Amino acid sequence: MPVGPVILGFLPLMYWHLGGLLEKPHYQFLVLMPVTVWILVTSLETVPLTPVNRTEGVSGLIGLLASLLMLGAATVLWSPWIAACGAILCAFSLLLTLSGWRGVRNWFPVWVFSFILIPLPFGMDQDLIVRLRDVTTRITSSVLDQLGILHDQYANVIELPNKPLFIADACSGIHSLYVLMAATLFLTLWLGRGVIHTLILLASTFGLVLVENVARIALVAVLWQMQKDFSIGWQHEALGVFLFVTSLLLIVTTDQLLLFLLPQKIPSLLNWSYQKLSGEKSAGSRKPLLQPVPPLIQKLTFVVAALFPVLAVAQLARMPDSAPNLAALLYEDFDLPSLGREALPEEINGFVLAAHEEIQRVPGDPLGQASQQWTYRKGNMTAQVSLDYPYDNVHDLCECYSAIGWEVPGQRIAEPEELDAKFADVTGPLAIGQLNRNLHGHALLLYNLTDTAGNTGTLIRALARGSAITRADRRLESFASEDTAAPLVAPPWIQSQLFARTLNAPTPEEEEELKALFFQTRKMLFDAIEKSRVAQGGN
Amino acid sequence: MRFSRDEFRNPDYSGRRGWLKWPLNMILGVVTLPVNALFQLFSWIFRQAGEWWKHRKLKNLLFGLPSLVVIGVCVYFLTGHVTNSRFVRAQSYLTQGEAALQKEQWETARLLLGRSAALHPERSETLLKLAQASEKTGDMAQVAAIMKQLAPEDSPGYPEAHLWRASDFLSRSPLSQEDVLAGESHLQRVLAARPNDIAANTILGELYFQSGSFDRAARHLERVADVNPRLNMMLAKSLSMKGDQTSAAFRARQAIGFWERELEQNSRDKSAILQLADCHFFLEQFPQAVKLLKQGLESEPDQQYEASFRRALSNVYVRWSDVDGGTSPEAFQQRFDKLATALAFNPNDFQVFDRINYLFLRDEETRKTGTQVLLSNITQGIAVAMSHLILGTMEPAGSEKSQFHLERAYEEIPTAGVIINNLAWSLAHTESPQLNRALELVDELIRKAGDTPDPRFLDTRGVILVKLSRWREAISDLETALPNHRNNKDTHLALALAYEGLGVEELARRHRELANRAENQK
Repeated sequence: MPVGPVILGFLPLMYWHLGGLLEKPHYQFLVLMPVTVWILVTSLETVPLTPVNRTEGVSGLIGLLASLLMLGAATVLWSPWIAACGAILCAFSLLLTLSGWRGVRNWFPVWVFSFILIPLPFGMDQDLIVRLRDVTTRITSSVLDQLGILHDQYANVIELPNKPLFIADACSGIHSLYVLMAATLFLTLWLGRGVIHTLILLASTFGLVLVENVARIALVAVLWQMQKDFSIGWQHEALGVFLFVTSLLLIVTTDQLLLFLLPQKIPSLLNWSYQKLSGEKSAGSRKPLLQPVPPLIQKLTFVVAALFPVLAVAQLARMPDSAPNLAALLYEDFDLPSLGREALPEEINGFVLAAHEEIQRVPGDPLGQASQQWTYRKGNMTAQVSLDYPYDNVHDLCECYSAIGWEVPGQRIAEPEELDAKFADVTGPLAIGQLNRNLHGHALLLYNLTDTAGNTGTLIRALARGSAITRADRRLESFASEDTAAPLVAPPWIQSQLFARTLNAPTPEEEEELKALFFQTRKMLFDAIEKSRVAQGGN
Repeated sequence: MRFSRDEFRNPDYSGRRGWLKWPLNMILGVVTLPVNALFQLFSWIFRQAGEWWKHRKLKNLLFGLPSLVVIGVCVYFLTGHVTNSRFVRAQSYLTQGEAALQKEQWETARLLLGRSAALHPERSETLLKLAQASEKTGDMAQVAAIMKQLAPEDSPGYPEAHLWRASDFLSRSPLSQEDVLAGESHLQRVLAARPNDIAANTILGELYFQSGSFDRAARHLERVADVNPRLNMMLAKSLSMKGDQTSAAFRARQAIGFWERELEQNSRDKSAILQLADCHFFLEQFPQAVKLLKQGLESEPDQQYEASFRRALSNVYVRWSDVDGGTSPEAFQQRFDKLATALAFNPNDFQVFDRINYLFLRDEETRKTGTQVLLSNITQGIAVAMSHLILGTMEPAGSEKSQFHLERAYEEIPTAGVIINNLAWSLAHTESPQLNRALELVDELIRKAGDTPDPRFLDTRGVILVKLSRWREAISDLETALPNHRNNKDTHLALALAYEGLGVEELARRHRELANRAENQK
């Protein structure tokens, strides 16, 4: 059985899939997957390859055909996600074809573990992030109230006196949730725990992640009251590592608690699956081979396997111009020179500079790990001009404002052709969001991002995905990466934004005025960055 | 009828009672099913519990203790969350927020009151305090959002919030009719709840005063003038416009008393000086008004107030000259002197020029007398610029004499709009018109005037542009000036020429007719 051609067929799309996963911070633990798989493999009992019977051969062929179809669909739609699902099905089919149910049973832990490569579809992982942030924030707020720590809570923000704490992905538990879930799965498979034990431990892990992250934010708040800032810098990282290790230990102790609490004779997943599918009483008492695989099935299996490399060629022809940005992991040290208050004039078109601020946040914060902000006022209007960085891709700032309590009733992208007619220094599209918030009034948000090569792009995810109604109709498309349309040229990206707050909904005249301010200040700031780089002799 | 146990287990449906056994068995089976199921379940649980008891390892429990501790902590906080009422928490945050407000810790107050408002959004008092804190931090957008919630347009809300919204509407620039109506509506809602509210009555009184509804203005101002004596003068003017001169004089005298007391406390208060002078002006006590204004203008020059003092002085002199009667040369001289002084203080004041024109052009006799006075003034060095201006204006436009006098006036006061305008007009109407110079002069005048140039300057420029055959620009200026020059023969004539130049015969014909009508009315 030629396994090589089958693997070859999946290579291009799987590279894209893994690349896409590794771009997301919460999947970067996958770099450890080879080690964990190796540990699982070494713990397997050695089973000699034995001839398979007719049922196993036919089932294997059907599985292989299904995975071929999935790979075909993935190639046509350019969906690495479907390809990954196909690869997992294909692995199962290959095991069945090569060594029958006995081989499947033997490799079952590794096969189950490989499911961690499949993220939730339809943007559900994104929805999960939002939900987790929300739940974490609410629980934290309640805990802080009970601890007597005065604070305000709205959307995904816990605000202490003089210290807003945005509950970023890193804090909301989405990162540790995925890695701890994977660790739990590995632990239960490695230790051969039963189905109920595994499911309860996975559910407990979800709870533990919430506890870990609530503890993280509550600790930061408590320490802030003691004049110690653990919300940024190495202190924050150290606290995160400490709590992560504690969570890992708690998973192990919960496993022990479950061992104590659960009866040991509950049927295990391995026994159940093996007995059900092979009809055998136990692994040791295999029935003699009665019906060998017909030659036609064997030949068909070879033919199907030979078709996989053809799809690989089709994938190479179909693949997008830009490769996944694996180097995104390297941008954490990226920084811009401190431009200072003087980078922008004291007065522009009646807007008077009122304040300047430089802000540091945690890595992965959607509002940027670092920001340089200039606040202008004109009458009762306040306009905050900001440079936020670094981002590994073009991202949706409207979503971030939504996460801190603003509603976004109107959003659109103005194309350069539309803007060129009215404004100078237009270099790319501009996302425009009209925001409002209960008891906070109205705001206008303007933003786009520029990479180090000067390419400008912007994203409004809701527009990219379509409305909730049309999303269902576009399900297949949503399997594919939403960001493939955005150019990935020379990250990291620097975000320019203007966030203006007004007494009433901004009038068209005010909107034009603010757009002009955005383009003027953006040009000045990028000129200042360029000057500073030239002065430092950098690039 | 009795069934044996065996009959249930192995039912025999044959025999005499067979037809009855089957349905009875079914019913019995259904009835006992839940009991049987429960029995089976408990049996299974007991078996599993027995298994668990047999195989349990205390070592596992020992290792699992940290998890039990975490579960205990979670249960503790969960119980706390369930038993802790949001209203109690809201009250606690409100108390802390109020304390922060008193300590002027605005950001902290905003945070705590915001939390209190989020926990108990129905409490208006919290929202109002939150708005106070937000206002102090400069977050006016949040203040507006809170006030909108507290004071809706279509229903009664919190009086303070209505008051804030009224002030917001009425302080907009430019102020539209809708803003005024919205502001008035909010103020009426305040008064519906608190009829004697000082701020609402004050703003509404001022609003009606400015819009010319003196009766309503007086009604609101009377309610608050005793509490806020600063409003006495506005009330006096409103009463005067209503026709109640006695009460108006009484209020004006009260205002004088108040401002005098203010000046006793701070003699450098320029605003108070202006207000006190206004009171004397209202009571036609001109010498006192002039004295005060001159003192104010001369002591510690202040650019911010200088223009106001000059305008006020000019107004006082103009009104004083109006009041002075008599047709004798002395009286004539006195009136002219006052107007000349007014123009000296405010060279761009058209009302002064109009009055002088009126003074001199009433009849031929007065004109002759006036001319003698003016010539005498020039020879004695009194009001030289004004005298030249009047003389230049009295002479036929474009004549040599006219041009000479106006050039001299211009040399004396090169910033006076009236002089520049008249000189430009004269230059455009000489036998060999100096149109480019005339245009330069009036262009500069209009540029300096900013967004609201005087229609007379526009009219002059329009006429010059007609002479330069720049029809479209001329029409633009002339039609802008037209509402103030509806009966001006020259304006209609210039418009007729411009439309003829553009080939719009119908409009040209109509303007020519209006020009003729204006000529005949003269």
